[in-house]
Amino acid sequence: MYDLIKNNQRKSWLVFIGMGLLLISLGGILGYVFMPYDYQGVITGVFIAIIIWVIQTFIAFLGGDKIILNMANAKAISYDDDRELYNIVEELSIASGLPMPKVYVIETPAMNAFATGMNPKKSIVAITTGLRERLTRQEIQAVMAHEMSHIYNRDVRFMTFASIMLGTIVIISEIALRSMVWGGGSSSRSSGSSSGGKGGGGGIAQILVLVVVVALAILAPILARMFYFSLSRKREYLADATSVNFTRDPVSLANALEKISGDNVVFDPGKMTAAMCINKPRIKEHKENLTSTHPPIQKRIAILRAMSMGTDYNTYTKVYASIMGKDDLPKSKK
Amino acid sequence: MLTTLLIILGIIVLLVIWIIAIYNGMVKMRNTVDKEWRNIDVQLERRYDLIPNLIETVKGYAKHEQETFARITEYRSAAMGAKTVSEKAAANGQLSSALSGLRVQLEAYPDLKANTNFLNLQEELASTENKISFSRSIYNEVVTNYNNKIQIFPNNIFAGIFNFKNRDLFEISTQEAKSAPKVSF
Repeated sequence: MYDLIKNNQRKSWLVFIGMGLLLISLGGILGYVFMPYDYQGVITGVFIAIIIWVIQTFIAFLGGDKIILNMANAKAISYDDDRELYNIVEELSIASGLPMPKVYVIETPAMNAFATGMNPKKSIVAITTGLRERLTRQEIQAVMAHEMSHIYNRDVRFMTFASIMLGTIVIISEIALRSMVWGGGSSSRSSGSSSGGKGGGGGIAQILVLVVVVALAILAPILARMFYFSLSRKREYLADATSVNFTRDPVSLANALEKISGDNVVFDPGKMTAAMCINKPRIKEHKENLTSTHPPIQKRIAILRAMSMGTDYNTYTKVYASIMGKDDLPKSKK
Repeated sequence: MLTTLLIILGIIVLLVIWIIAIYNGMVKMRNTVDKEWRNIDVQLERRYDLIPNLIETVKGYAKHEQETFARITEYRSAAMGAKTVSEKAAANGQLSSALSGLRVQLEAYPDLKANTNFLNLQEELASTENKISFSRSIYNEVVTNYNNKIQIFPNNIFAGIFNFKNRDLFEISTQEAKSAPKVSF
């Protein structure tokens, strides 16, 4: 399993760098458009993009662990508050070799659970009372193992980075589109007059560039979002696989997911944490998206139910491949 | 003459460094094995502590199960007296199956379900068994790695010289292992 973490981490960095390059080129191109025929424009654009990115990262690192503390109905529990839950997490910390995380319970009838914390030493696992009350001991173990798997696979930090990158791309594109509506007129007028002396050719090129930039500003956030959500969904399958590898009990995870699929209560743990939930949290209607952080729960259940040959990671990837018709999960050498 | 001497000296130094590296590698792995063994042992001790409490609590309700109680107490003493890893594994395997037998028998006493003390003890015992089972798989993994390390050539030569011995796996009968950490009440 350890080679998988390394693989995940390597991929994390690739994604991180890829999204960074996208971000920087977006900033550069936009800078070029607003200050054409001048390298300073490109440099300024890149610079602004990086600054926005750094600020967002900073906020995420400062605020990461506090998300849960800001939830009015969240409560840290000790052994005496809920022995069974505490014991289960302790068992899983032995199974995974991770340090014991803090355990939180969130008072809500919604059925969900999540993990947070930028590194395994400072991580938190949380479960809602709605879910806690409805599951058997083995099912809670399965759900908490899924959450511990997000910590084990270093998903929290990775998805936080990806989410920051996405947020930054959205912000820059928004700035670009808005400034084109409000300030774009004057900049195109002034550049139009400066290129006016050279003839009409420059004007057409300018319009072409403008079209490309508008297309980019509209497409970049969409592409980044699609990319982010597909990453998030793959992380869910991986967390299921890791969870089963820990507990050796795919049936209980399938049973738990079946119960969770009946959930119809609104629960919004925030954008960053949503990717770490056991299932896609039901957020308010107007915030619903075509894209989703989680794969269809029925698919996940089908894979788990079909795991009759074993509970190790590679069995999961085999069953996944036969059910999904594609073989795109990373392989473990062991 | 001097060059030959220096070359020989250089080779000897390299050889010594190489042996030190092998030796340190084996020591590190042996320490990991010891550490993981202690993790199992802590949980085994915990279980030995819980059993008398459980029997004490249950006695008053389940008067017809004296025979089972006696057997569990006997297995417990046997497990506590076991010295080697394989002896402990065998004794604890017996103890585990006797305990799961008791669990089934106690289903016949619904009054127990209202006893918080009993429920807490059951939870502790269940959790301890899961912990033993999880620690066991980690322990067996590090033991396998360690045994491989000291058996491969040329490590086996130095393992012999420095007295590194094979360790036993903590193995419980296959039937036991298959039903591993599934404990419910």
